[in-house]
Amino acid sequence: MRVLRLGLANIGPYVDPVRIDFTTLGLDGPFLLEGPTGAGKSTLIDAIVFALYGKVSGRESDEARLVSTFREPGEIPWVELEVETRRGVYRVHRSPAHTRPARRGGGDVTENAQARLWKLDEPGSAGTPVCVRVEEVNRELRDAIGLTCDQFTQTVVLPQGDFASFLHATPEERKGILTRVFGTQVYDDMLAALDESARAHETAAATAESSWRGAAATFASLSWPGGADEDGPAARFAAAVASADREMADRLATARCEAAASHVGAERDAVAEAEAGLASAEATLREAEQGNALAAQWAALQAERTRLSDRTEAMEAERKALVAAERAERARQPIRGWRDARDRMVATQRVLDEAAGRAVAAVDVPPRPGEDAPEEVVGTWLRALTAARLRCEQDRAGIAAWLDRASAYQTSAADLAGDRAAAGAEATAVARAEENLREGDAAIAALMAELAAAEAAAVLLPGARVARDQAQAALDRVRERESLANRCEAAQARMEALAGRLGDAVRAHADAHAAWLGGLAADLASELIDGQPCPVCGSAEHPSPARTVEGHATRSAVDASAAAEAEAAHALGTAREEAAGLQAVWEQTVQAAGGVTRENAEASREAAAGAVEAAERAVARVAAITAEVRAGQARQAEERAGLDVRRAALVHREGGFAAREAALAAERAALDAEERVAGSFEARAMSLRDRAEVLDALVDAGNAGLEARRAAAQREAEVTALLAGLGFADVAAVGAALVPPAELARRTQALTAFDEARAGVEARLAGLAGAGEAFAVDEAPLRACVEACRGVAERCHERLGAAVHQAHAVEAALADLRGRAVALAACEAESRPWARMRRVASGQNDLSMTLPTFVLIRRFDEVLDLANQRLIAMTDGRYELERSDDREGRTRRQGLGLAMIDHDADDARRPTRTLSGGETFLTSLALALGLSDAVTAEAGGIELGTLWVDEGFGSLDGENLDRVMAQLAALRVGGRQVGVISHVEDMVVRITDRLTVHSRGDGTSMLTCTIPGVVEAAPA
Amino acid sequence: MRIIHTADWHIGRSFHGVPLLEEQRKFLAWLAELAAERAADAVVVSGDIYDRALPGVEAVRVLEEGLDAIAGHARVVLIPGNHDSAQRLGFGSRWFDDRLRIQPTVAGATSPIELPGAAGRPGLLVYAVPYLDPDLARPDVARLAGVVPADLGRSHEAILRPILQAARDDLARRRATGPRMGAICLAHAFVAGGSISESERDIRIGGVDVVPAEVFAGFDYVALGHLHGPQAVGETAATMRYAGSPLAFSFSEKDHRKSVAIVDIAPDGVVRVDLVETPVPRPLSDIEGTLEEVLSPGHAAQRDHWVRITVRGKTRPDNLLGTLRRVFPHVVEHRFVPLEAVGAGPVGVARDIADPLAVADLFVEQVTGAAATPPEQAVLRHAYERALRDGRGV
Repeated sequence: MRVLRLGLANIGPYVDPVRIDFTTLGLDGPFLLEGPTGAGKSTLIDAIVFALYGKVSGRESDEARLVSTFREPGEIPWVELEVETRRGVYRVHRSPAHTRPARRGGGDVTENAQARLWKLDEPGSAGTPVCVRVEEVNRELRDAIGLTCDQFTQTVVLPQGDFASFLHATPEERKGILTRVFGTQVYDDMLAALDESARAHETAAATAESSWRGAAATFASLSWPGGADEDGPAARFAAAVASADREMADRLATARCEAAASHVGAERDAVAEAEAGLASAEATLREAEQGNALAAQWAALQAERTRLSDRTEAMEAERKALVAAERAERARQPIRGWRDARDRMVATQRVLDEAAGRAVAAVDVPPRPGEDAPEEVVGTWLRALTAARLRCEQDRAGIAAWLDRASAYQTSAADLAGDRAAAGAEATAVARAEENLREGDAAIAALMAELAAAEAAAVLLPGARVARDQAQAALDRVRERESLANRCEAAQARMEALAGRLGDAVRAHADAHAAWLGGLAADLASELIDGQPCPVCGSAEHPSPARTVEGHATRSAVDASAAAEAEAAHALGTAREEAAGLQAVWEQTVQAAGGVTRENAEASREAAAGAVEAAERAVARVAAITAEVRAGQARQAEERAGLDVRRAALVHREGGFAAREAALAAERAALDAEERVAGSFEARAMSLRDRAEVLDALVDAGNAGLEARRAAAQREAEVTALLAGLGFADVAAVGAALVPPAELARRTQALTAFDEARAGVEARLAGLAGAGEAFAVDEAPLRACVEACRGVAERCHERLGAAVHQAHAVEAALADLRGRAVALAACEAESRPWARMRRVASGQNDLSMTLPTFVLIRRFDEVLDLANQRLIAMTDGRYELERSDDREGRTRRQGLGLAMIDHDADDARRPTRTLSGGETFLTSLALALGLSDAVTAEAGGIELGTLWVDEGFGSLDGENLDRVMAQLAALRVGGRQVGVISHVEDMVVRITDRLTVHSRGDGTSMLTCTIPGVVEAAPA
Repeated sequence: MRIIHTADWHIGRSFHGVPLLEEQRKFLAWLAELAAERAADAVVVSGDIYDRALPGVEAVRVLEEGLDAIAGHARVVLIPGNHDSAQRLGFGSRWFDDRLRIQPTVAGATSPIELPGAAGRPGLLVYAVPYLDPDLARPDVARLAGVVPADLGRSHEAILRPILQAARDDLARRRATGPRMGAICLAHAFVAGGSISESERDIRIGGVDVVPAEVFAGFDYVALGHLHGPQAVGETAATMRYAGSPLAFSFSEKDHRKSVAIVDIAPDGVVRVDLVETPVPRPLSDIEGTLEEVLSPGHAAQRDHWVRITVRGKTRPDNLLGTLRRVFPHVVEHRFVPLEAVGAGPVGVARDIADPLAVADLFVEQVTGAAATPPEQAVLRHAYERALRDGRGV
């Protein structure tokens, strides 16, 4: 941490604000803060410590000393410090508690201490506020710097008279400093954590043990329900549990478990035996039952057989009929097909008849052969018909061409008519447009006239504006004149009132004065004694002593009334002046305004305003009209051009019409000529079409009939062959043999069932062949035997169940016991290393050293090493510091004691308190430097970039002083800024960077520096 | 003209606790005899007369008697150095007569002290430039240079330049209006190129402590003081010299041959320098080695010297200083360096491992004699993590 800038005011002897920039100080070596005793050198150190910690170091200083006794009442004392820490740059502004005069009433008020903290991005910038409460600021700074106030004043600032505190500290205090400075708090925390965890583990182990015992008790109660007998296994088990002998207990429990298991085995055997007996009794019974059943069966089967043979004959007949029906079924379909073909043949014949009837009407149709005509004849006839059809077609094609031309002609004629009509409409439209054009021109001319008028009006605008402004000014003046008149009146009234008040005050004062005099006189008179001289006139006679007067007034009342009178007079004077002033102004205004009345002024202003508005409107209209005219003219031009184009197009079209007319007429003539020659083409086309239709119908019908005849003949042949194959005489026979399918299925099924039943009976009889005759056995006694056996078996089962249950319970308890024993062993294993580490870390080890102490001792050794390097250099090897285990005073042994070795005196060890002043200073300085070196060299430690040494140099002689200054100068090389405070003259000569405190003689001080720009003082 | 040039007397200084006042008294007596013997016209002393700004009473007496003796044979010219307080040393100097001149001011440096030659021979001009505190001298020097004090830089060079320039101007004026006389300059500064020893006090100001040699150009001889080793600086060997201290004040000077310079200056500027070695009261020695080596007869010749002894070994023997002192009665400094010292320096002897777990392991090993077993290491790790958690939660 490094101090960058300090500012203060009204602190100690510094009344005016002073700012010191430390960044350029001390670049050439240590810098010196010097001045006469009491001038305020230590105050700067105090201010720095106060700014950081809110209190002042050392036993002699206290916070109240900071507040300057020379400040003006109401001035605030403050200290502002900019400091660079490991967390960044901070600025802190603090005010100590101080008194200030109260704003209301008399006396003083105590203002509490205040603090504010900013975090800066870089030194000198404005920064962002961090906190504004004193505790928060203190905490934040302490965390940023990493040291408490006490530690700060032993490593960064070595205050006057206090620099030896680390040297003379008790081991406890030293431990605190080292712990905080080196951040070894974590080891104390580790020790605490070890302690806590070890204890927790112990508790866990105890719990595990008690649960094991509980499981053992449960086991015992389960296994030996009757309680423990003296020497039996139950008693041994209880003994093992009591002595926590887990293995013995386990063995005994296992033995008990096995015993239970073997008991279960015995029961099981008994059950098996009983069951075997039961089984054999049941077997015997079953045999008897079976024999009886077989005999009954035999008798039944015999009866069945007889019944079935009665029906055999009827069934044979049935079989035959069913075969015939099946055969007839096969012929059914083909017969039907033959019938259909015949029907079709008849139908086609009918159609042919119809077509022929229609064809009679047509011409040129060959006659129809008869119904029974052979096929070739019919075929020939059909061919002739087809040829006629072809001829018909050819004729038709010839007519088609002419028909096309006729329809084309129709289309062209229609087009021409349409075009003509369109042209006519266009011409009308053009005429209308011309009319519109002319109207537009007329409108534009009218607008131009209007424009001229508006322009004339617009010209008047500027003049109208001027007139209006003038009218406005006149009105304002009139208004002002009126208001001033009012104010003058008011001032007059005030003046009169004040005059009245003054009169009252004068009278009151006179009265009070008189009363007071009277009172005085009365007082004096009351003390008069006859015969004694009067203090006023000296006479011994007092003929008419004054008497107390009513309304006695005190001196202060008189004074008050005098004051009131003076005030009233003063007020009156002021009011008079005011009124006079106003009067003057009013007269001026009257002159300026003239005699114009307000109404006239307003009226003229309105008129002028109206004129301005009219002119402005005219201006606007001018612009609008101009725009309109232009637009209109443009439109007209466009229209005109368009019209011309259309007119030209029209003319062109007219020309075309004539040509087309001529062509159409020619075509018409040609078509008519052809028609005249050949007769109406239309009618001919019609007749040819009809003929073609008729021919087509005839041909189709003829073909169909031929087909049908052929098909029918074929079918007939087929059917005949089939019937012969199946053995039927004719179709009727087939019909007789048919049986409906449902019935057929039913009858077939019945037949099959019959056959099956017979076969079954035969088979069963064969199966029973060996059984022979029936015999009946008595079953009742056998049944009774079976019941008895069953009872026995059930009882055995019950006993077995109980034994099994017991064995399971015991096993479960054993498993539980084992489980808990394992858990207990694990707990113990886990807690062992914890317990050992706790013991070791809390000092029960070979060296009787706790963990934090060990770490601290190592650190302390490092610090001493570094300190010794410097100390040996400064004392030419005479003195050395050593860590000792001795008690210092009445403290505990901590291993953090210090002793000095004096090599000059046979290596004697001296307590540090026996050193001389100069030696103490050297040693303390070496220690402080060693401490800060150790801290800086450690990663994560606090960087101490500044060192202040307040006095102590006076106790050193010349050579030692040289050596100490050499050490301090060497620090600068390491980047540390060193400041020394001294009044020793020799230091002044050695050091060129000096801050000098000058006493001004009135108790205050001021600060100068040999480097320009370091001290900024507000002017006195 | 013949002058004796000496400097850096540091009267009152002690050497590692041994007072040197008696040796300094003897040196002053010897110097007076030398002046008489060599018929010197003047003795010039270039600063650091006393060792401290407030010298002790005995030191003042030694100086007084010494100067008395010297002034009987030659004129004396003194300037204060950076160890002296110019104001105190120069008290009453304007009332001194020609035998002793002390020049402690800026104004006095710009006009010379005239040393007349014997029997009509041309004399010598001595421009004596004292060492002044730069901040105190700034207003006067600024006035001399004709600038505002704030414009004058803050270094020693900035203070010296205007003074030397004024001196050169004065010399030029004199030489233009009269016969040429030899001119020397006395100054107390650290001129660039000089080598330092351990005993000079740093005069760094504004970050700079050296003055370039050309600041002193233009004189026949420049008699410098401040560096304790006798040496010449500047391009030509003859013109600029440090007289060096008459006695060795630190072990870095143990090989110096201390001397005073006898300088003959002709009016035309030719300079001849002759060095006369000063008497050595007791030589200095540096001895290093194990205790046996140190006490061996090999160093017998040095038993009378002022010695600095560095003993090496495994462990520091008891009563080391007593043992050494019996053999070397004048041991002024002693050190013990352990043999296995590794990387000694302000960083620390054994750089501790910062890992708390490693430190805990080390602790267990050291206090129980055995390393921690893996389950115990795991325990320590748990405790450490717990400690971090709790510490952060606080």
